[in-house]
Amino acid sequence: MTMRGVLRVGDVGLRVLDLEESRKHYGDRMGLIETGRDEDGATYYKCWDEHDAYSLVLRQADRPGMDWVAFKVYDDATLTELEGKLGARGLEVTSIPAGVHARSGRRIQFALPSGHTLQLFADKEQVGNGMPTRNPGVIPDEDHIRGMRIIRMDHILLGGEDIDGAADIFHDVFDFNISERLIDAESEMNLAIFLSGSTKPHDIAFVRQPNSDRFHHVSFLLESYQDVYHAADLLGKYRIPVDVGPTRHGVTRGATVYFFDPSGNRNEVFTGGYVHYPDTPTLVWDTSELGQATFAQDNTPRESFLNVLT
Amino acid sequence: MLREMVARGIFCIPVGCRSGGCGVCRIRVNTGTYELGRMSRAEISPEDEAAGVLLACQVRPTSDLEVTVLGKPFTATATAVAATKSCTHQGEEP
Repeated sequence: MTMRGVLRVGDVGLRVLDLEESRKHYGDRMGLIETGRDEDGATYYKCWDEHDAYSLVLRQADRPGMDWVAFKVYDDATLTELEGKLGARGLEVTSIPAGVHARSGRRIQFALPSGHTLQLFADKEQVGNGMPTRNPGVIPDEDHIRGMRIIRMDHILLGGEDIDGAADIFHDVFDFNISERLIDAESEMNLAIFLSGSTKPHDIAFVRQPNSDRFHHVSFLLESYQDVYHAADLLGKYRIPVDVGPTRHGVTRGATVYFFDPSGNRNEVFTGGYVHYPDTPTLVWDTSELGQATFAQDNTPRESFLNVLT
Repeated sequence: MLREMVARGIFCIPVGCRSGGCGVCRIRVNTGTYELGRMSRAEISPEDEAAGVLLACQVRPTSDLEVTVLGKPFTATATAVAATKSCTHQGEEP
């Protein structure tokens, strides 16, 4: 397999109600590494095993939610090629010059049919993962792996009305595969669509909602089931509101715990899941098994998990 | 008041993010006094706030409160559960 084109979620811009509290949450409790602040206080974080300068940006606002999600693409030629394909599809694509986003090369931006702002970029300053690239060893210095011991940002789940249109763009233009779908058992309508541009079960997913441009969660990878439990123990210790878990999803088979940041934006830390190849059949769950599709240990769906978005 | 409700195993108000962001614990305070935390302006407008329409997770009662549970207008399931309910909350720490 040769992975080119759109690589992964590169960064997510989240709105928070209070930056100071949010820094305590993402920096101290989750253990992400702060790599910069703008004059207005916007704060940049990376996970320990990411080489790029940041993957999460927090901005203070009067409402929570997501400003943008940016996918990193393989190189600048890929960016140019995708810009043409998106334009040919009739999408209004705008250019963001290099440097507008901190330490980032040029970006292109457009609105998904689900209402979300999607960006693509090819270049971002790399600061490394705390280990050299020659004879790197296996772990960085002790101050890199801390808090919930998060390895890297993994995927996002977004809510909107036209999730089919959003998924079509990832499938048709970015060559993502539909790894799984959750459908209404009677109407066969897509309720959630999971898309992979890699060998992960998903890089992005969409869930049907009555409103557009909704944020369900951003997810971070952990090393082990033990680390999921360790994260849940930290959530209890610091009274961080838990949504669900620890448990395991039917969809993707990830072992998970969900919780909320101090502004109500949902976070996930997880481990596990299967390897998805481009020829892996699309797995379909229907609402007769909504419980197992969502939470496959007690097979019980949670209303909050389906209805609470920012 | 939402945290107190959950801690006591009472579930008469929908529970969401508990951080003032998602809006599912929307209530109207009919009588009583309280202090407020931060709430998303996408969920509670200044007019709502002035009318006592608030997010229960951000209400810190300073007296007994009588509230009406509103739930989130566009989440049909939550609204159906919450629409006809109201409950009285004894003043407690948040």
